[in-house]
Amino acid sequence: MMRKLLLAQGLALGIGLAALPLPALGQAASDLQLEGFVQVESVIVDERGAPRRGWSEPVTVIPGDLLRMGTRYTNGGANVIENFVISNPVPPAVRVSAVPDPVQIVSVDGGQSWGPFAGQIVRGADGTARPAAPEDITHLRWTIAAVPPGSSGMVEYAAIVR
Amino acid sequence: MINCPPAILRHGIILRLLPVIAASCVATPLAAQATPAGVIIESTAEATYEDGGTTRSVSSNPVQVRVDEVLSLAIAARDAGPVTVRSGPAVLSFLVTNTGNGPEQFILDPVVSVAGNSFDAGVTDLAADTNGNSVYDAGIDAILPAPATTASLAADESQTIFALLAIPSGLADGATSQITLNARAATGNGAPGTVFPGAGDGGGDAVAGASGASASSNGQLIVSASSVTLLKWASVEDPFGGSAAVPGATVTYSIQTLVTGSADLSGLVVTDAIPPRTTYRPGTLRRDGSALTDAANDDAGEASMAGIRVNLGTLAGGSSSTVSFSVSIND
Repeated sequence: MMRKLLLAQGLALGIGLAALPLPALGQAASDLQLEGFVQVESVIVDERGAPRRGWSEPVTVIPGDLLRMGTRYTNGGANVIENFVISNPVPPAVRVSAVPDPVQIVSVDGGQSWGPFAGQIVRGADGTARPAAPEDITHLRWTIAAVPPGSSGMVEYAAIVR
Repeated sequence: MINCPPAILRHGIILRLLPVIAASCVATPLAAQATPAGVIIESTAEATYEDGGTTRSVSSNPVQVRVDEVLSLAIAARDAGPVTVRSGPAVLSFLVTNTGNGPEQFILDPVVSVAGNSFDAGVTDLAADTNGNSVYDAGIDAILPAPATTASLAADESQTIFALLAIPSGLADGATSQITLNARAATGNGAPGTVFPGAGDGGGDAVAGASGASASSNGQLIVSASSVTLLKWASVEDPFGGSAAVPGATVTYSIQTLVTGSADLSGLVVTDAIPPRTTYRPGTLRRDGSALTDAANDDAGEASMAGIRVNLGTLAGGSSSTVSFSVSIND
């Protein structure tokens, strides 16, 4: 039974690597490359045979899986990129699990308004207001003042499959 | 509680981490309305930036992952406490719930021999609650052919299953028995995290959930049995104020019906013949001190020169009822 599990996971990994997303250019003129990725928390057995938690590229997930949803960016051009703003809509089938930075800019209303997570208010069906919880977040936004030529970086958030 | 999955000690291997058992190895069910199996989670980032004074926008590649089917179920006895039974047919009810995230059938397997039983019932059949009224209706609720399997239940859907039982005879009052109903996902079951490649709803894999895609529940039976004891006695009054059984004396017979045990007994009828060389004294038939008419069909009693008959109806376990009548000793 466990052999089947290992084979299946190996197969999944193979597909996952083969299907690693390639950078896509939003505009032909752009020197900026955005590459989205999703990783799932997994148990990785190290050289000494001890299981450790780690991340792997999933093809499939199940409800409750902890995901790392991120975007890598690279300035492939010759100019400094300024006022770089990345917006990441949260897919409806996942919920943000935690917001480590209280001033993380988020939207809890489908991207209509934005602000620091710590100040967000949501209203229940009965009209009562309460502070937003991570699972209320519909979008996250990061602003990077400048990306010099040739440099790259990454933004990410943690989410759980609903 | 479930067992923690064993650590797999091979180098460089990545295992699926079953999130529901990750922290404490305590089985927790999927949240209601878990993301259905087969759903594609797609994520695309958008960015704007200034490049040499020109505002540009760009999208990332869409990243897709598919949600696999988690095989998970719950089963619970529906009867509130032990079901009181006596020799003959009996029914136990169970509720099977699909706690996974895709449609699934569940295979049912009853076990009648459970440790601690003072008797074992027989299982005649398993039936589904076809009309959904939570009560077994013979001829309406479908008998499940072997191997007994539920209908395909959507995520979070439940079905009531009836175990149709045969209770043996000769059991003592208060004897108890349990019957276990085992259920397992038709797609497969095994240690939590076991993967069934390609077997999931929507084209993905199926994965055994925290309970290993199997569950069981015990239904309880308690026997209620009673027996009847008849006690008859007579008292004599002679014409001279004594108690000699001489011609002309009146003999009053009393018959006590005593029900011993916890069960009600119904259809109890006491009959007695008028003894030879005596004559029934009209109007003396009584039940528990209350007069009954001699005529038939107007109350529970009737009496004639041949004998008496009293319909006691139902007596509760532990109760009794006494019928009396008088005769004269013939000259």
